[in-house]
Amino acid sequence: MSPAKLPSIRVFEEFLFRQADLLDSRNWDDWIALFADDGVYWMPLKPEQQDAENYPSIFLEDKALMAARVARLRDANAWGQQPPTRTVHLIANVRLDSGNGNGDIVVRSNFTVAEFRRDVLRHHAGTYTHHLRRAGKSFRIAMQRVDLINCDGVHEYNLQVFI
Amino acid sequence: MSMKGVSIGSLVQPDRVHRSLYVDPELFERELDQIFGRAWLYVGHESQVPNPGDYITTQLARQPVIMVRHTDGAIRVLHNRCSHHGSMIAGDRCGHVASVFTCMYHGWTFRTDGSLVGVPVPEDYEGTGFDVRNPRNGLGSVARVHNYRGFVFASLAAEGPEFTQFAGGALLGFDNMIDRAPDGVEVAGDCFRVIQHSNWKIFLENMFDNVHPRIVHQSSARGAKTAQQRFPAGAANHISLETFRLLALDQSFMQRLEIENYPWGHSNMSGFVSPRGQDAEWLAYEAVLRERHGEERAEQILSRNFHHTMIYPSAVLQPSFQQLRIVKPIAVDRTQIDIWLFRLKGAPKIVFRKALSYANGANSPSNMVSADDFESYYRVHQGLAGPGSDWVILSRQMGRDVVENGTVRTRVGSSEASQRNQFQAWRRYMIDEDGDAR
Ligand code: FES
Ligand SMILES: [Fe+2]
Repeated sequence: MSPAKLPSIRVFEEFLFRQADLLDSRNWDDWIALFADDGVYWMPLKPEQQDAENYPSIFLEDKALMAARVARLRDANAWGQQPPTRTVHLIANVRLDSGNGNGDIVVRSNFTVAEFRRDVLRHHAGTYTHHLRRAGKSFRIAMQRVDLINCDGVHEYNLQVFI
Repeated sequence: MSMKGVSIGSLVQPDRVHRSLYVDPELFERELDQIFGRAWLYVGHESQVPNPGDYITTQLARQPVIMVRHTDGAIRVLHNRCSHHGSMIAGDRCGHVASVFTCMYHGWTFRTDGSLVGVPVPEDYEGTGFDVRNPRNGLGSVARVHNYRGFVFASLAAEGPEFTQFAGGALLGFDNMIDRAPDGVEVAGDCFRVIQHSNWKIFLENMFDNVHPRIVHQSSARGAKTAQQRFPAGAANHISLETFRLLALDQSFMQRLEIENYPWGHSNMSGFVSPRGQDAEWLAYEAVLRERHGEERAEQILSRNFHHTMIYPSAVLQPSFQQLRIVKPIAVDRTQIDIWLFRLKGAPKIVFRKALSYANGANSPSNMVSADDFESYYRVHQGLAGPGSDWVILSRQMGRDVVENGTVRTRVGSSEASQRNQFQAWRRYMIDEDGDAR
């Protein structure tokens, strides 16, 4: 697809903002529905990591794993969610990247996420790379890659929710 | 000798331990000296330093160290501390030096066996009594190093049992993992590093606690079930989900697990989920193993399923899924765990895929199982910080375990034999023959 045929950047921004809003409002069913059936949420362990099959990742979740995580987060006896995690996403610097060769549109953006749980406020920052597949008037996420700037650092707390 | 009027020996009783073991900062400092300062601690794997000059850095108790392959091919464990003014020599977690380490502060240089090569202005030292030309004035080395089939352990103490005698039965688990590899094992990428906001002993006890899973992990088990129902095809690819589901079965399932406990606090526990499959790829792997080891031996290796193997106090191995968790106590209420994944060289891809699913799903910083484990460790630590009640009860199946030649074998999985055994080792490290604090 030639860049000339792409919708305006504003359309992608709105998609990303909605994605973030669904996470912040714990509306995970609608969030998972943004993904293609074979969509993947990937958070590499290393910066520039290309290979998720031969090396470990912080998250590497298809819809089955996403569903398991979400069911736990909602479970009345998920002790690690007592008290629950709250998040606020800020997304900026949204820009189009060259395609991934599969016809998907690749959109990159920067994020900061404030996460609060049990009196501790912490910040995540990094880059999103979204591989978006056209679906009717909108898109489905084929891949949401989340590169934390501290991906290979020491993680102070368990990452219970999607970033 | 006593601490605040209480003898340390009396804090550990056969069936209970005093809460101060978990929360007293002074005891924590003593543990760093007496336990982590003397035990054999895991340093790294030889595959991390394949060539001369390759190194990694880590910390043993309070001591920063460099594990480096010297020009003679042997692995050295050096103090990461310049012999001049103390600066750490290596500042990265891993790297390579072509010939020498150069200190970034005043430029002293060292060979990869630690020996001193030179200093920038040697005349400064003439007649001072310090000989900068003596190679022995270089980097210190840890007192003892043992390379066990590629796994490098070190002890900061010159005295003590030698490694194989120390590790004893826990080597069965390490052997089992290594023997599963047709062509040896290697580290797969970097490790996960996570912090627990709790005392290090709470984690090690939990590794052998078979009553907590159905309580702590019920939400993960239900989550896994939901996923298996909604996305059966996708879920079948994830052995992590199957593991989570099994965590909350009836207690009789966990009662079948066997735990063997050895001197110095080590344990082996049998597994409840096996990587073995019936698909062609997995069977091809078993065929390769039979080719290497012979029919009988291969079956022995594959059917011996360890869930956890612990070399107290630093290493917990999961032999069937090739993961190794390393305990690094940072403070009395702060514990770092480094989690390494290994690849069985020469095995078909399916073997690694299962290990990777287990690593990403059950050991990564995002894993949902440890979200609830860490919560329980935190709550235990916070509860024990209160001075209101003193004792932690460890008497499940007390007196019913089978003792044979220093090995304690449980009759049922819920026994707290491992926890009792860990604290007997703790006591042995912390007090001398007369019952006095070391
Ligand atoms: S501290 Fe290393 S050269 Fe001075
Ligand atoms: Fe657990």
